[in-house]
Amino acid sequence: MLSADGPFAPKGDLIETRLADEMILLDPTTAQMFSLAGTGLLLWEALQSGTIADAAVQLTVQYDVPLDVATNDVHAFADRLLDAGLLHR
Amino acid sequence: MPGCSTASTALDFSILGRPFHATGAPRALGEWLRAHWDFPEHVIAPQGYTITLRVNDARPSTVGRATGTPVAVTVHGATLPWFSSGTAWWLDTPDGGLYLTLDPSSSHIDAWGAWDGDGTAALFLALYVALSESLRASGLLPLHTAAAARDGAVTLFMGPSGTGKSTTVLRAALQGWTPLAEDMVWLDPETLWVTGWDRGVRLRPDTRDRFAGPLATLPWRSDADGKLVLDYHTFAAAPPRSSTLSRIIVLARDDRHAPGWEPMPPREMVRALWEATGVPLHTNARAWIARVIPDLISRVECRRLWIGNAPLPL
Repeated sequence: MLSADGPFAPKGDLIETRLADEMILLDPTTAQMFSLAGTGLLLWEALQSGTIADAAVQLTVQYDVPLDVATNDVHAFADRLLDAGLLHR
Repeated sequence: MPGCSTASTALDFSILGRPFHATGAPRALGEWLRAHWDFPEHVIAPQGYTITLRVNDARPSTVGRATGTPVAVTVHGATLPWFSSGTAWWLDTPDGGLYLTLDPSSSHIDAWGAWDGDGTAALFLALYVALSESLRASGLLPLHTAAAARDGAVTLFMGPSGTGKSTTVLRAALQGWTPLAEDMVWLDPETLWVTGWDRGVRLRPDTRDRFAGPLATLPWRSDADGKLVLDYHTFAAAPPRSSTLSRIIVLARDDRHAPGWEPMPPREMVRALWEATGVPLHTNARAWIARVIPDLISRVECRRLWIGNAPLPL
């Protein structure tokens, strides 16, 4: 597991286009686009305002999931965003 | 001395309603500005945002030197490295350079170097970027798209190069639509006012030859790059160049697919609009476009049109 505790910051030049229930991320360097919705969108926002533990708690509030499972899921998701270069510490 | 080999002149005209004033432009640059940015036929209410261009003989001493990592902007296949500090952007090429400052009510471009040599293509592309950034800062959105109007309502036909934007506009014209653009428009997102940014439909000769019948007999002329051009005034004596946006169509080409319409998911529409407008230099402009796109999607009809071998269901 690679991720630190957070909060994290989005890649500096990342462009976020917000739809009603979805976030579209455009990386102008690579011209790649990513879409976040539902849990992914919740965690994208939570990871920028708090720690992984905070995000895991939010996940348990929104969804019926034990805290340890939520914590593992948030770590895994944060690692994917870090690997993709969308977030940094 | 670079920039002094030909007579310079002052230019005053309006670019999409924005007053434009240039000083010191040598002949080659003046001709380029007239050819690519001066459209007296555009009918747009005058705006307060002003754009000025000052052409200098040498690099002004006040212009900063390159520091940090440049922002690479690709235009017409060429990549230009821009450096920035605050709201100022600059670029140096072997033949000269540009310095652009964007303010809330005006933009200023300082240029220097040679504008009439063989190696000045990068300078002209850089000026194209600087003027486009200025128009964005004034509240206009450039869109790489074809456009045609019917009953005063504009439909944009978007898609990657080669999808069939130009031929779709021609087919629409044959069905009574008014062609507005085959390559680019400027959109005012507040008013939805669309203005075409070219003077005719351009096609490769082999593509034109696929149009049998009435199109073959129209007065096509050859352009410098070998393409054939059909001027918009072929379709009307004083063809309208602007109207109000009502639909955005994303073209998809598949010869195995029956022509027809289908809904366009919002996320794909976001992608299509970003691809059509490009990523601007300035972070303020990026944030503005990120707000404009969802609003646009909510206000106009967005659909996908499959192009096959059968006639288009326009």
